[in-house]
Amino acid sequence: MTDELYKEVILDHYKHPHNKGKLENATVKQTEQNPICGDVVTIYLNIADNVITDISFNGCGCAISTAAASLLTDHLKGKTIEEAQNLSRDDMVSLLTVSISPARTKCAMLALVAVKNGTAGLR
Amino acid sequence: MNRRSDFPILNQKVHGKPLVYFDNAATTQKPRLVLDAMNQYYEHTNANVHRGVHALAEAATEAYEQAHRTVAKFISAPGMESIIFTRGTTESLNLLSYSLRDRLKKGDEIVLTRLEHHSNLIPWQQAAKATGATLKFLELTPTGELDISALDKVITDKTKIVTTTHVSNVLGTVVPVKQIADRAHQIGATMIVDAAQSVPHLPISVKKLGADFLAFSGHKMYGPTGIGVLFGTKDALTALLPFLFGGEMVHEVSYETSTWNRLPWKFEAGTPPIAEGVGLAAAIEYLAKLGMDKIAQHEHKITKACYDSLKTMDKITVLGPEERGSLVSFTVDGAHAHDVAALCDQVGVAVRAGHHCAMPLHLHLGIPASTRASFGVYSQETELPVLYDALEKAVRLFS
Ligand SMILES: Cc1ncc(COP(=O)(O)O)c(C=O)c1O
Repeated sequence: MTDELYKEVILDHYKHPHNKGKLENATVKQTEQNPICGDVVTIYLNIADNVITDISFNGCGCAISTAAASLLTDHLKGKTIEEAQNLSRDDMVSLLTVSISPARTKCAMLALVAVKNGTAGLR
Repeated sequence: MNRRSDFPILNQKVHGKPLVYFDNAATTQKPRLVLDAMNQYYEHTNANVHRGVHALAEAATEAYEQAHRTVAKFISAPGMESIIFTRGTTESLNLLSYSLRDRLKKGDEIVLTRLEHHSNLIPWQQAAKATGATLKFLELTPTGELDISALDKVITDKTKIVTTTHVSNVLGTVVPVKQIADRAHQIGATMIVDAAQSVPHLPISVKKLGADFLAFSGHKMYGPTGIGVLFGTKDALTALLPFLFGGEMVHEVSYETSTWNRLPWKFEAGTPPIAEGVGLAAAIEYLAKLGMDKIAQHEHKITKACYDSLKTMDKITVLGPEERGSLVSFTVDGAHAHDVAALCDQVGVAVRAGHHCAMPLHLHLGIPASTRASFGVYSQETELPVLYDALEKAVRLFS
């Protein structure tokens, strides 16, 4: 399973994450932590007319949480806040294309939790 | 020394590979004879203690008191009256942080080290908040040892409590407790030792350490969960207020007021962990029979082998000093501790990843998390190459 877990797509996104860095003057900035392992992710969003026009992330984390943030930020560009709010754990797992054990669920979900908490009041 | 066959749980495969259990600093496995002792107790002896006059109650009381004597002897404490059973190290330290508050006032100082586990830090933060006392820390040297040269500067006339871990659960650092205790006693402070990571691995004498109080957990020394120990000297315990109130801990009770039971029962309110006490005593007898000197030697050898090998591996940084307790924590360049532990798990090696309940220490060291291999009586040098292979793979994948 773990050999599967660390397949090329995960390692690629971990080593060369997309949308990494701050967005200056972001509409929304939301940080979430996983206190168990010390992972931190901050999500930056620019929102216009309910649509995510730009999104990026910063922080430090394991391969799974970093790849998840990278893939999620790619996915959410141009989506509406509702679409972001409706993403589930299963959706996150399909973006990652690997199966996620309960122990790693927190890692996989960290960026999505940040997006959801950051946009919760905007609907 | 090879005690693997004493431990039923070790005879299993994880992801198709023989289990290599290197997470002993978190909790140890239990030998068959501890499981048997607890079963035996439940099948033949179970009753509440200190209450009945019937045969089972007497037998249960005797077994429970005997467990206190066994613990006392194991750490060279004077006797049963110096041994309090708690739920674990965390509860022992919380008990102290509450019951010692009446000696703290604004401006007093509590001295700790930078190494402390959350359970020997947060209770004192709370005590400081409640009383106006302040926390002071003994600092680390660049190699992760305690900077003892600052002892007289940090522990001053204002210091009322000095508390330190004996062995760091992250860096493995062995703290020179006696030297610190001597300084603490010189200025009349109370000396507390968190021995969670030393009692299971080293011969311990509370007298030689100079501890007024010493705390440890049963589950980290091959005993059951749900039981721990607080040792206190007679003077220290006599002067200490009880923390939990209720049945068992009282001598005379009226509707208005109560007087406390004799030691150690003054500190054991309510029905205690009786079967766990029996299990802990069985674990201690097991350790005593193997000999703590021999166990220390055995674990020192495997720890040193692991330390030496990891030191030579590219992209791996070992944390802490060369002289250490039975654990090795490290980081892998470019790899997060979680991913390292997941790769180890894949080949059947159980290691711990994270900040090991020492978040401030990790911040202090400037690392988000580390991976830790920790050893016990059943650990074998022949198991180490499986760990090394997993780490090489981590380096290959992530660096
Ligand atoms: C040094 C140290 N102190 C305290 C504790 C807390 O022990 P427990 O969780 O058994 O109360 C631990 C273990 O987690 C430890 O390693």
